[in-house]
Amino acid sequence: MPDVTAVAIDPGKLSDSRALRINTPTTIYYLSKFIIGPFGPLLRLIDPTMRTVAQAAVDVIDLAVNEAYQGERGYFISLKKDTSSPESNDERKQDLIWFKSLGWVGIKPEKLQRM
Amino acid sequence: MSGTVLITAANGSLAIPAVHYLLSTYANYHALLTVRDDSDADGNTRRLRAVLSCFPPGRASIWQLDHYYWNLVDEVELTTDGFDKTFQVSHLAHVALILDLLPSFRPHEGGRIILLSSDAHWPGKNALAKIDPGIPEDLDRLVKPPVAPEPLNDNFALGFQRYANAKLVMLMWMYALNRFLQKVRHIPDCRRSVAYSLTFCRKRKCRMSPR
Repeated sequence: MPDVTAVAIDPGKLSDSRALRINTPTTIYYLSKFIIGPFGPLLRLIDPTMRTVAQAAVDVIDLAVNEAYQGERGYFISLKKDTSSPESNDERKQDLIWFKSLGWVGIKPEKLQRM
Repeated sequence: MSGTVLITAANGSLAIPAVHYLLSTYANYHALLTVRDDSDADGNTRRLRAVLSCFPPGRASIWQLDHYYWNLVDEVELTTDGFDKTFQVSHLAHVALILDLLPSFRPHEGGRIILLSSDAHWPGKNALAKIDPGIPEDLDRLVKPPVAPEPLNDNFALGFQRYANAKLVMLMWMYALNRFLQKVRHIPDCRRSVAYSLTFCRKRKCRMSPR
């Protein structure tokens, strides 16, 4: 039976994302608007992880619904399974965060047993 | 395959092309889209509606729901719950939304939950990070970080660290979620859905109104 699985995807450095122009210092704002955005294609020659939102969007949706990724779990960089940081792989800390997060959002562990 | 794809922050710069690609490529899926401001006063929502106008009515619906947040210029902002806003919107909202929606996955069909991560979670990998992310001994410092600036007195550095910590926590929570899902393999209920991003509002419960 197919499972419900969770994946975290790093879509790359998004050269034309609006995020760098929201609640950011003026220097970052103008860097994003006048350098990173317009010169993204050139910057990608230096840093291949830099991508457009359109490119990253394809990866996110394919990972979400394409049959090729059914059953996948874990950490992805674009569409490649990868390893996240050492601390992020600490299972003891993961479990602490799991239970603490339930408390923060007001969900009792026994409610999960009814899911 | 067919089903429903839920995309939060659907009028974001990554989400809009994602919506277009989904509706163009996967014809059997319905898009359930959430945005902070679903009115036409929001320019980003207007752009999203412009994309949807290229597809038959009924392929997608827009709902109002709070979403992605960071602040790299001001000191810590708190929500009405008394939590750091970046952390609540970037992680806690995901937790509440995903766990609330788990019973909605169709039995025998599975589904996928996609969380947006970042290299910011890894110390030293993101050029914008001046202070390394990390899980504090006292986890409550994640939801209630010190309001007074550290000796560094740098709102950008502290703001980015809060964002990076949220990404690190969300990633670690994902691993724990997968272990939980593998233990609880039988998910009751009706429709498949995929949580895409993150968002939230008052009282740690999602309130959604269609438009």
